[in-house]
Amino acid sequence: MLSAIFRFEFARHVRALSTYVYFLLFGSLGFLLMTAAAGAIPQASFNFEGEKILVNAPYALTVLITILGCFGLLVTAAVAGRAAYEDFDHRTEPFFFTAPIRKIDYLGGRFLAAMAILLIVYSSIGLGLYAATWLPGLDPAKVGPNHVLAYVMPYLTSLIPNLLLMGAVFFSLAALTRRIYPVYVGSVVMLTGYLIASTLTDNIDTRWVAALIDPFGSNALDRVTEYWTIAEKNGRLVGLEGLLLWNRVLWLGVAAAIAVFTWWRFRMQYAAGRAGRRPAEPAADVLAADAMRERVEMPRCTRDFRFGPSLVSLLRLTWLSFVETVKNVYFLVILLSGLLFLVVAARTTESIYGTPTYPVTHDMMTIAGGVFYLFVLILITFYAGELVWRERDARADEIIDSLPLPGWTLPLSKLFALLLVPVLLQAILMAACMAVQLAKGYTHLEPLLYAKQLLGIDAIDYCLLAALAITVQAIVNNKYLGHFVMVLYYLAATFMGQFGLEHLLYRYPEHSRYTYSDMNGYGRDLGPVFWFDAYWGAFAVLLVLAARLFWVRGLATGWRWRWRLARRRFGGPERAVAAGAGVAFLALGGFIFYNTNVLHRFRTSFERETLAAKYEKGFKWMAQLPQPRIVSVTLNVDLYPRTGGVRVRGRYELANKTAQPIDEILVGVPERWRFRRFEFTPAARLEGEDRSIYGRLYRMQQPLPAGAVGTLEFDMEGVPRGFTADGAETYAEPNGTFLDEDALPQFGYNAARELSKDSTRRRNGLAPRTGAADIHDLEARRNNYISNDADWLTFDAVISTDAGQTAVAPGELVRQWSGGGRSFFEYRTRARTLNLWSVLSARYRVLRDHWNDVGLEIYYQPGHEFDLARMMKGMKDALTYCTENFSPFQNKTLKIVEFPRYASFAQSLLATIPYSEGIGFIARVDPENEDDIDYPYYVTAHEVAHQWWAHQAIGANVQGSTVMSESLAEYTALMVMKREFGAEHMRRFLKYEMDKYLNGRSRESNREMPLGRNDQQAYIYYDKGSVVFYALQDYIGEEAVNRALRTYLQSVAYQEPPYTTALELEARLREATPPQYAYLIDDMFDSITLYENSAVEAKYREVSNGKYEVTLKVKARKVKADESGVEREVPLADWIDIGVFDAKKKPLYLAKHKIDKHETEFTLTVDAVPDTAGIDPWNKLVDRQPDDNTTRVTKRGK
Amino acid sequence: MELRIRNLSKSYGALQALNDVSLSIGAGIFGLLGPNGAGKSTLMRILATLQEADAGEVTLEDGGQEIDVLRHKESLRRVLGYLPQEFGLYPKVAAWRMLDHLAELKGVRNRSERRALVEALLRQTHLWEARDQRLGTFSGGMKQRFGIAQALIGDPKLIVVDEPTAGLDPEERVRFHNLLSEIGERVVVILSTHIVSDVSELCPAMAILDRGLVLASGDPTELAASLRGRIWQASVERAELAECQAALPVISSRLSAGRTLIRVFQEQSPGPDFEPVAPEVEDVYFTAMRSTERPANGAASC
Repeated sequence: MLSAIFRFEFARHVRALSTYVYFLLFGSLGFLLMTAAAGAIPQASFNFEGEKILVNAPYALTVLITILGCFGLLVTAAVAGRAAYEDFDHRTEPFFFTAPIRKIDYLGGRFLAAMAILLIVYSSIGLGLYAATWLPGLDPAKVGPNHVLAYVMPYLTSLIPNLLLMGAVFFSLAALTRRIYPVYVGSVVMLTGYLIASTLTDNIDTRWVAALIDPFGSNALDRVTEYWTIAEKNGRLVGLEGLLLWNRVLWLGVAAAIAVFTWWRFRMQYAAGRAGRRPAEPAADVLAADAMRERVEMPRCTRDFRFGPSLVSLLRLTWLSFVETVKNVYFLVILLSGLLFLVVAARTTESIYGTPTYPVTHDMMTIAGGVFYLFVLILITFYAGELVWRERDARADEIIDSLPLPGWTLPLSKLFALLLVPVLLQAILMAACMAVQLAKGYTHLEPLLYAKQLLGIDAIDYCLLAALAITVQAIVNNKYLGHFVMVLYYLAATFMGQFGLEHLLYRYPEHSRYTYSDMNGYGRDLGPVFWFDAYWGAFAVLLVLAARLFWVRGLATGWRWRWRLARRRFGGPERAVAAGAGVAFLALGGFIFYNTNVLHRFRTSFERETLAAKYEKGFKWMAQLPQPRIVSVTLNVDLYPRTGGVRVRGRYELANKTAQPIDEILVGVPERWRFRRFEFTPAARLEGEDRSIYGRLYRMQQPLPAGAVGTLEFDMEGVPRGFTADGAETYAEPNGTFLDEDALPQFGYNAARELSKDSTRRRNGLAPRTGAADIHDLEARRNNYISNDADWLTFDAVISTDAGQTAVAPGELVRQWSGGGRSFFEYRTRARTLNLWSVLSARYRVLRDHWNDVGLEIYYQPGHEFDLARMMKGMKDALTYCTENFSPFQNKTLKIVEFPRYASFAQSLLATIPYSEGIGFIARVDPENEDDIDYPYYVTAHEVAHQWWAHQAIGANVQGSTVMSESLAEYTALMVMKREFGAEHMRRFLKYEMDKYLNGRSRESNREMPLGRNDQQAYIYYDKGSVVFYALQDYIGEEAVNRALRTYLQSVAYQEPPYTTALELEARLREATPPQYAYLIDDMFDSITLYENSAVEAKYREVSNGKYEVTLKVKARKVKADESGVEREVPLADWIDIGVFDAKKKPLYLAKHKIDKHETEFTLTVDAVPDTAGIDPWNKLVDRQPDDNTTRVTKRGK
Repeated sequence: MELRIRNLSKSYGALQALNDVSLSIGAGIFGLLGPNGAGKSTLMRILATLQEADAGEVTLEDGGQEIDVLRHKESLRRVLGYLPQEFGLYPKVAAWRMLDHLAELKGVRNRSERRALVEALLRQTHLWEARDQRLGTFSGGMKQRFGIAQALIGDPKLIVVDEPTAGLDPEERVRFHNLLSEIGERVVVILSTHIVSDVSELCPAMAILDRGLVLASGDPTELAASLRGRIWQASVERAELAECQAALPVISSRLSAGRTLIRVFQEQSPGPDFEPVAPEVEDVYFTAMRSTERPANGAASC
């Protein structure tokens, strides 16, 4: 019987149009994504998982098929849910329930048929992907050979298990409740599971939990492949292993349990009391025949069809629809799962190194507005269908449609009811956010800000979407097709930008970008948002008008009649609305276009790439030309935070430090600034100008001879006009201006503007990037890696800003005065500085302290007091450490200056550390929790260390130079932390660093280089740098390292060209390294070295009077990786920690042993009961499987 | 008060649901009789503003005012009461609340007037006892009575009831008829049905509709009277039935005490076994239906 039911159902699905639509949809999605990822569409900027991953490699296919499979959630819900629900919907269940079939036949046949058809539908993903790889015009470097298994495996590991699980859930929900609503709710709850799992990945210790509880398995997939090298990603099949295997086992088990439960609970019976309890009819009814003959006098009543009262009807209908929508258990479940997510997500808000931030309002808003967006999308999509079909589903449509209601009443009441849903949600969210804040002891509540964001900006977005959803449902006039159209719309909206359709004017309902910052609020960016919203609002009116015109009232559903009716309905008021909204739409669109495309240049990313390519092709040769160098900078900066304008009058002193005369000067100037004056002395003539490509080209009237000096004087002005898609044009923020050297004229060819991705370069006819210059390249060593138009310079700036604000710049404050409603500040550097500076201005509060005779200042936003003490201590401790170990501090003051979170970094300028409000000012370090990493302290120490490692010693513009700035700043910060918190505390921090390094190399977009040759690769110079230097000082001693650094610093500080390189630093370190560890320097700096260490077995026995003998068997292997991660084993003769620990993780034994075999056995004697033992137990060496280095020590049997 | 339907046509693709239908209907209950698929519901829905006609005109004239039913739906809806053939109700809403809501939507704005109206309607349809029950708990008869209650809101001039007695038990049907005849005195009530007795019991005027055509219309008694002397009845064996049907214009046959009673429509007596009977509305119906099949006259040989 099961097979009969299966065949019948299967045939029915096969004949359904929707099956083909789904098949084509997923096929074309796969096809399109592959086409874009493989670079066949020049406008498409869809970049997939890094540059070096082949688009048809097993790993890439796994990710693509998993993602597209997740999009299928809704289709699975529709097909599997309906498979169980259909009979109840059509009331055909009596036919089946009375047939002589078993429950298992009925349920099994239906379920398996749905699964089979869905599998066929989803098979089109693989087919689409595969077909696209044969297209002509693909980037050959991105497409590898096709392997069938690479297409099949993702189905086995990901898609089919997910299909079975989701299918079982949806089928079961529909079968047991005999309704379709719970299926919607089920899909939302599943999504919540995934989202909650994803929030747990921030914390390194809970990642395995995240990998297990994610029902889609994508977190587990991430875990399994997170440290895969490029070579592995391109060649290795993603099989069922590790956490992925456990995840699949767990969730398939859940699916099986659900299936069994469904079979057990399902009753092939008419559901009694489906509509609730049915009370007996009143006995009196029997006598009604007579009663009804009596005439009941109908009271007279007045009737009123005027406009005003019909508005009341509208409100009443709206309210009824709204209440019906939200006053049920389904809405409650969705709401609760959303709130659960909020609470979990708030636990780890914006965490860095696993340390969370205070739940400040904008973080809560980000969670509420960001991820919640998905929930609201689903709600809007489904409820639009339910609302539009409410009367018809209840079969009350004939009664309602023949009521004397104006035609707009019903459509509008549905729309308004739908609008109220997100508004209600947002209001609840707002309350929940504040409750979470209070629960976490954060009492600075900002209800008005919440209202502005959640009930204002976000709610408007939702309302616009709701208008679209209602219109789609009204026009399509088929609930499920309507859902499908909405999903298509979401897909299109998501991917449009990546296919080169970037302008917001045709991307309903997008608006320009904005970021909320505690310092700067919304800046000036809400104005443009308003214009976009108004524009789309007018469009939404047109949409709703269309919904009203094509609204099905009555039974005329054919398009011929709907057109005819629409024309008839298009009367005076409708015409007026259409005209009004149409004119508003066009006028607002014109206004926006004027701003984004006339006042400003609108460029797609494709166009920007083309310009960058033109720059490289046209001007790279000029990199060889002698260019002037800046030797001093004098600025007069006038900031106008109130209006957004900036004026800079400046003077560069220039010198020809080359051996040839300078004839042509290439000047990079920012595109939008206006120049009032631009004058070289000796005189130069403007030869050409194209700011979109290169800036300006000058020719000296008399070539500037070698060794000669001159000046450039300029007067430039940034005047904000209108807005772009990125928000308002602004040069000075209302509270939090950050202006840096990039805004000012620069000399020579700027290699930083070159296209960095090889695929983009190929598309633009450029050779692959060569990377940083070779470490031996003497020509390149003429420049340091910070700037190519200056060495060490002096900096002097007079900055004026609005009264009430404080302006800050590098160097020491030498004068401060006010006048004419403005405040003036003059800063001057005491030591020479790199060409690296910025000017900041805001309404700061200042915390002052001192260290010896150095004044310490923190300029911060009132309200951000949380971590000031940690920062202050970080400054003092770092100053102490660096002056003790390296050299004296070169400034009289040291200041930290907060800036808005538009960027998340801290940087070190001379005596000045601009520090984003996002990365330390709101960190919530729990002093009770040993695990919490005090990152405000660490970041501060790192930046202070840069006053030595960058501002005193700077490397040449060649490979590996970031070691001398970033890696050494990391090392210094680690040592400062070690001194403050103890070596024990460092392990957790280093675990994050190791993780970031391994993750980073797995996403490398060019080639991984050894630390000492790294090519500006942050995961190498920060994270591997930390790990390597920490290990180095562990091996050769902190004092030895510091001695080497001190001598190195003495020899290179304030060095003029040629600049130092990592080779010179390595040489010093080599000198400090004892011979038995000499191999370390090669392994750490000159090659990519990894270990595969693991503890195999450990046993102990008590020898006598509290002595325990431990036998430990360990494995060790050492490999060297090439630039794409291909490994080669090298002989082992290395000193590696062997350790035995007690139950409190305190070492009972820890010493380095020379290990030269793959397997080694140790017998050690310790003084207490051992608990764990292993090789390199503290993960000092780079190892992709750090967790298997230790094992539990078991008691030896007799 | 008069509802005039002139040359109304409606087709769904190849299917001609209404073919040049013209009727003139005054106050009182007008029965629209026809088999399933005759086009009754199409006509009813056009009258209830829910369906568009391809051609023709419908006007409702009342005290000098004339409403163009097809074009001015808004005006018609204000004087319309409609009970659809099949309808559902929001299962979780109490009866009175639903009725109150519909009354408000029908323009009864004054709350106390509305309350009084709802009470009267519920009493009239004998649902007052059940006013607080959820609609989902209503039996078929109660639901139908609720349907008529909502159709009566706002003193309608035109009441359209589409197959209201289908699915009602005999007792409920009687009750329903009583209720309708109560209302029918004042306004135009159009009742569609395929049950002849509904019409013969209730309607002072009727029309017979089949395949979109009006086959007959008028006062049912008069229509029946016009057949006087031409309806013959005989009792035959079941085995003879087919033979008779082949030979004679048999308009109906039914079983009676094991034999089959057949009625024949013919000018002369078909034979000695036949006796003349007084024509009933049913004969009108079957005669009309038969007239579209083939012309009648034959010899008595059975």
